[in-house]
Amino acid sequence: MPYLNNSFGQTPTTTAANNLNNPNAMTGMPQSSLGYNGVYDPNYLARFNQQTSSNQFLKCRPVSSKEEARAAQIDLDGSLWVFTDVGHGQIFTKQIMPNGTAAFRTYQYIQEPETPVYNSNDFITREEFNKTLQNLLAKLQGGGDINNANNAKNSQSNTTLNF
Amino acid sequence: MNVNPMMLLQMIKNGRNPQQLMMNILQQQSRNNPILENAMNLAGNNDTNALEKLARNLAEQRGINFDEAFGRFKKFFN
Repeated sequence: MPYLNNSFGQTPTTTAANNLNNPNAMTGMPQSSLGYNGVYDPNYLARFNQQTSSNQFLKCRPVSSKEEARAAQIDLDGSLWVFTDVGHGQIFTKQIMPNGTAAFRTYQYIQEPETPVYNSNDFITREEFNKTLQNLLAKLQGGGDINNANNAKNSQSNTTLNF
Repeated sequence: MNVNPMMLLQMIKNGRNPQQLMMNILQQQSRNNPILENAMNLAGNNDTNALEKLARNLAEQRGINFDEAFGRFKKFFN
């Protein structure tokens, strides 16, 4: 039993007596990496982790379904429990609220669409675009000349205005 | 709860009010527990209805029948 056979080789009575004289004994904070006799305690880190884990706010556990997460019993200390369901791409959180009710939330993994990679050589300038458009319009009008195409365009717009 | 029983006995022996002592200890514990903190506030304000509702909700979380459990609790003092 670790309590009776602790790493300091002390009886529980002596430990309790030391704690009485130590105001920090109640706070659960480890005193130092040195033992009570000033000797380095190799179990210090393990002891520290054990003590801090009791105050953990986030606790995590893998589950296989939403129902399992819903049915899971969580601590009543208000800590946030995170349940990961990697198979279904979901994460659930469960937390006891101050009024005693449990808040259950579901987070869904969404695969974002990949952004297309554009090559700058695939683009033309507005000037190039306009020039090409003008040439195309000219060819459509049958003149093959840009000026003729412009005139044709203007006459067309005038006709439109006359309506 | 991380309460040193020897310290508790020592404090009672020194004439401290046990009820106040327990309240102080609970208040210390409630710093890391919002539910306990809320319960302490409700108890301090004598809001028994809200306190009962809190207890009912917590019992429901554990699948405990509150009325049955509370009945057993009251029998314990009779």
